[in-house]
Amino acid sequence: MRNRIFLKAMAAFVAVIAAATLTLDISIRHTWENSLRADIERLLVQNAQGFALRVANDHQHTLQQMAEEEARITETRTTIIAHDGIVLADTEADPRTMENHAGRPEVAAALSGKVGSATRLSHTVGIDFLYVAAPSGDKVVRLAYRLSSIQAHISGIRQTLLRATALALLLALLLAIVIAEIISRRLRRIVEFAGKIAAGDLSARIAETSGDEIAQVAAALDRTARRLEDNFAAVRESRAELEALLNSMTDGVIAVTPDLKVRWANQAIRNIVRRPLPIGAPVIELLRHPDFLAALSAALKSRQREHAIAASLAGRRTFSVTAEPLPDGGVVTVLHDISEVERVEKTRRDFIANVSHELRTPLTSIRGYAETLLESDGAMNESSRDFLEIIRRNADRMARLTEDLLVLARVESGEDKLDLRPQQTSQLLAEAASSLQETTRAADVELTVEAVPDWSVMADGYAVHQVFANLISNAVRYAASGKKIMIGAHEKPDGIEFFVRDFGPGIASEHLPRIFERFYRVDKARSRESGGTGLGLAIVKHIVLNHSGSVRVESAVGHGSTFFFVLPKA
Amino acid sequence: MKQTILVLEDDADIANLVQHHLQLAGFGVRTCASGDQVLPLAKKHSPALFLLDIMVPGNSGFEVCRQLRASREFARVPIIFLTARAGEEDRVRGLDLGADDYITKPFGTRELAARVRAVLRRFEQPVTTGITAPDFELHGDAMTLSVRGNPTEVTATEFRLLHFLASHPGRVFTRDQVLDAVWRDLAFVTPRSVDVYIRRLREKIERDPENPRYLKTVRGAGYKFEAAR
Repeated sequence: MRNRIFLKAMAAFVAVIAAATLTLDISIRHTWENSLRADIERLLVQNAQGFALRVANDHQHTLQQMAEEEARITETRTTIIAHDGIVLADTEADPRTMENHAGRPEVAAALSGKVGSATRLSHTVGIDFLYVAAPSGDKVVRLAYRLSSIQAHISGIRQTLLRATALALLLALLLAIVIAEIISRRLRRIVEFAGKIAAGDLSARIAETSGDEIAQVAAALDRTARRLEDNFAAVRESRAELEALLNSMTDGVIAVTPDLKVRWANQAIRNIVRRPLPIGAPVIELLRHPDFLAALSAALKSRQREHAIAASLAGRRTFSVTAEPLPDGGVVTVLHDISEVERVEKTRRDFIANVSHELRTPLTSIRGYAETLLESDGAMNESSRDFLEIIRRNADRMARLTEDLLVLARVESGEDKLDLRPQQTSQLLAEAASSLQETTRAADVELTVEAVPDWSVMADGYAVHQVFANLISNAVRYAASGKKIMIGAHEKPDGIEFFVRDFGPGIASEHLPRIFERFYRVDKARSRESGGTGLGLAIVKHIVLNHSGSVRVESAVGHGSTFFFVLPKA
Repeated sequence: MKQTILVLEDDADIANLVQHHLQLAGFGVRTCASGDQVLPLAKKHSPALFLLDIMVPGNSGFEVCRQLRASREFARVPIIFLTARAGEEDRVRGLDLGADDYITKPFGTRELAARVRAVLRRFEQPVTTGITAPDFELHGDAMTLSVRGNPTEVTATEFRLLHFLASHPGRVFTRDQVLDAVWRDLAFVTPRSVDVYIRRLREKIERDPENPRYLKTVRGAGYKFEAAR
């Protein structure tokens, strides 16, 4: 981080400095050299003209003397040339050895009366010279300026430039280090801060006071952290509230992940399992109960609320288990302790069963002795015989009542395990018809079976027989006037619906909603007289419910009644 | 000679009632009120039939039934339960223990006598023909069964049921038809009782009762006897 920022800053500085140096160097070498040369040339021209004037008018000094003086003043090589090109005086070479200079371009220009100039390697001394020649009467004066001195001058400047460049580079390096350090230190703080937030420390803040972009980023992060902290605080609060609420419940609540691991559980669950509850452990280690686990898996699979009763879970207790799928694929399960309800219910059932049993013994005596008297040959008047008959009949009815109470207690509890297996619809109807033929024939009622296709239903044959027996004997009891009873079945989306239809007086609509309740009687006087116990339809309802089916009735006064029950398809 | 019936009943009124009607029907009757008295009394009187209440002081009727079936002398004497326990499971348990009928209180006095007679008739009427199958043999006169050479205990009712089915190999009988044929005119046992008897017979004669070779269930109809190939 630090290195990279430093390297980038450094590279940028070096590039800028190099470009500036290069540009400066080029401009020094070309532009500056040219202008310097022009300046020198102009000066040379003035000097040459001035000297030409002196040479033409000064007759006191020799030519050589004047040339020497001029050369000293102007720092040039001074030459005086006759009009025929013969060198008369020169400050750096012996004029007698010098060749004729008439052909030199600047001399030629001066001989024609103008000021001439040229840059050239001197044959005589072998260095680059800037020559300027001016006419002076019949002679020509020439000043030659050593170009090497310009070059020396420029290279001096360039050296200074390079030194400056090196210094600038050094400064740039230091600056780059400092800037990189400052930036990376600020960035490091932001990174550290972001790291803290990521680690969950939302109370962390960075105080960045400068107004640059980094400070803006820091401020934005600060704001985010503050908002997150607020939100998390709100979430924590509502979570704590929820937790307190769930922990205060007496029902056990346990949430599991889609792979059946414990995600959360409330205090009540801890009390139920009575051992440490590791979050993330497989739920099967916590509550190894087939019905509970089946409900969980079912809810996971169906994504619908599932319900089950789990008996002897955590000791001897019974729980009602409701498993509700969570939006993220898990399941939350509520375990409601119904042991007490079950116990009360069982006490009630046992009581009913005991009462039923206990009543049978005296009933046996009442009925048996009444029958014995009725059959005896002893003298008895007609009304005594009638009274005995009444005793016998009522003992019979009471016996049926105890029987039905017992059956109802058992079907209500679901204690009787149904022997569910596929049964043919036609077979069930035929068996019902044949075993109840006698009952209907005795009442002079015709029992007909509607022909049906051979559907298969999941049912306990004996229990279905009990349902038909109750419905058909009810029809015989209350609707014998219709002279006809019809049984059959048809297909429904949720199973096969069987029906028992009579053509009797029908039932008034106000009775229909309550007709499946135990001891509910449509016509109290008539029911007693007919010997019904008032429990038949309740028994029917519970048997069908135990099959996961449903019951209903359709009836209208004067148009007979039809009782329906649905059994699931096999 | 009068046949004696031993009645186990702790309610004196009912014991008197039963005694009265069985005597009217021509039987000798001995009653006792405790389960513990049944065996000693039986040894003294050699009853032709036991009529047992279930919930009595001392050994329960079920326990007495088990003792009788386990004893040498009374293993084949018919037993009828006479009880207030009308539940299906009690009925099945009684029949499972080898009882021949199950009468629930309150009962009709005529019905009681008729059923006692019916059970005795069933027991007395010997089946004359014997039947032999690869795994078992029914000896008609002695009413005994031997399975793979070993004599095996059967009650009269079990014997008659197996004999009836084996006499009609391959024919399917509904439970009602079986009731009519084996229990005769008095079909007081429920169709489910037939299932109990079939199960008991399978345990006696089949090598694998779960996967019977002889006594086959015909789904949705009833039972049939599969002749050996």
